[in-house]
Amino acid sequence: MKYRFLIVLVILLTACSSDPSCEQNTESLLRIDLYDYETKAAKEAEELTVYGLGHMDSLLYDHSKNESEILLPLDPAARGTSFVIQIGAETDTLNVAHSSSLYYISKTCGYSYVFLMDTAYLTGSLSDSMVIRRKDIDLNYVQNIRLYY
Amino acid sequence: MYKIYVCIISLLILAAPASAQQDSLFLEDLRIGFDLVPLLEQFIGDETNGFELALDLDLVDNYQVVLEGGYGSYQYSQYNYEYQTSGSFLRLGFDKNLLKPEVNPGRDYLFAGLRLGVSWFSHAATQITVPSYWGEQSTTTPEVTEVMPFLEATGGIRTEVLKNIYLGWNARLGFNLRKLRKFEVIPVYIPGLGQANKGINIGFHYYIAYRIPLK
Repeated sequence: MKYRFLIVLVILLTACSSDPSCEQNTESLLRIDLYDYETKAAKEAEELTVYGLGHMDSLLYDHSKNESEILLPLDPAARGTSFVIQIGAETDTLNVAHSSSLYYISKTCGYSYVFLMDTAYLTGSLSDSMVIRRKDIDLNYVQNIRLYY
Repeated sequence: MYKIYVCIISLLILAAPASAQQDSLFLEDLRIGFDLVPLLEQFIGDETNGFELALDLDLVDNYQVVLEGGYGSYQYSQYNYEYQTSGSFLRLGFDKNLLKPEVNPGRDYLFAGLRLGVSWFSHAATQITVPSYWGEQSTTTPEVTEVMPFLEATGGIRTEVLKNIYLGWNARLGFNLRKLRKFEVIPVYIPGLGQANKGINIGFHYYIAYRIPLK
């Protein structure tokens, strides 16, 4: 028995589907968690102000209340980045030495930078001590530094 | 990966009962086909450009050996980068005609098949702009040449509409065989396969083909 197919042109497809929007973190941030230097327990900052050294006119945290973690953007064009951290009347300067590398996130989110922390230290009157917990600084915002004050 | 295995195994199971009940035939027909979908994509202003040709030869037991090849280029830009790639590809594989061989032999095909492909392409992000608190950073990636093997499962129909002229379409499920993060620059698009960031690529081809009678 002979028969022929009816060829049905079904060309919908590709052009109809648009790319999804980017729905994830696209900037790598250094995460600092705040702790009480006596009890070693997590401790919120009653009033927190943070800015990049030399960028006082562009505050990252502007008298923010009850913050227990600080997320800071590093400078991908430099080998080190410094921040001024104020809690109440006390101030520290945080200096972070790091390297950076270009990172492809995805087609829709594009490119970003990730960092590897080399060293970090604090100067000033705010903190008692600090501990580096993780040197990779990426899009996951995992705790990098514990700051005891 | 589990879904890919299920898909391939399903196609093989689909092909198996048909071959068991058929007699062997040997049809020495060679077809050369041209994919019309890239033309359509250019017409509607898609990000891709290129062409694709296919050769298929009828073999015994309703099998066809298939060689496909072509060229593709792709440009993409969004808010923080521009990317372009171009390259060539080859696919070699087989189709199994699921129709009985006595039904219009060499004329009608309802087929499923597999392809092993390779794409070699050059690509680069020609502009990258990363916004930052410390100021916008602009950079590029170097143009690099890469090779990507891939596997496709396919199914479709083909029929002779005029003497020695065939029309037909096939749909494909393809996936790459190399981990993307091992590339110097992560590819966004792979000629012959499609979007690189998808686990499984779905493709659609619409062929017009000419049969070259060999005997």
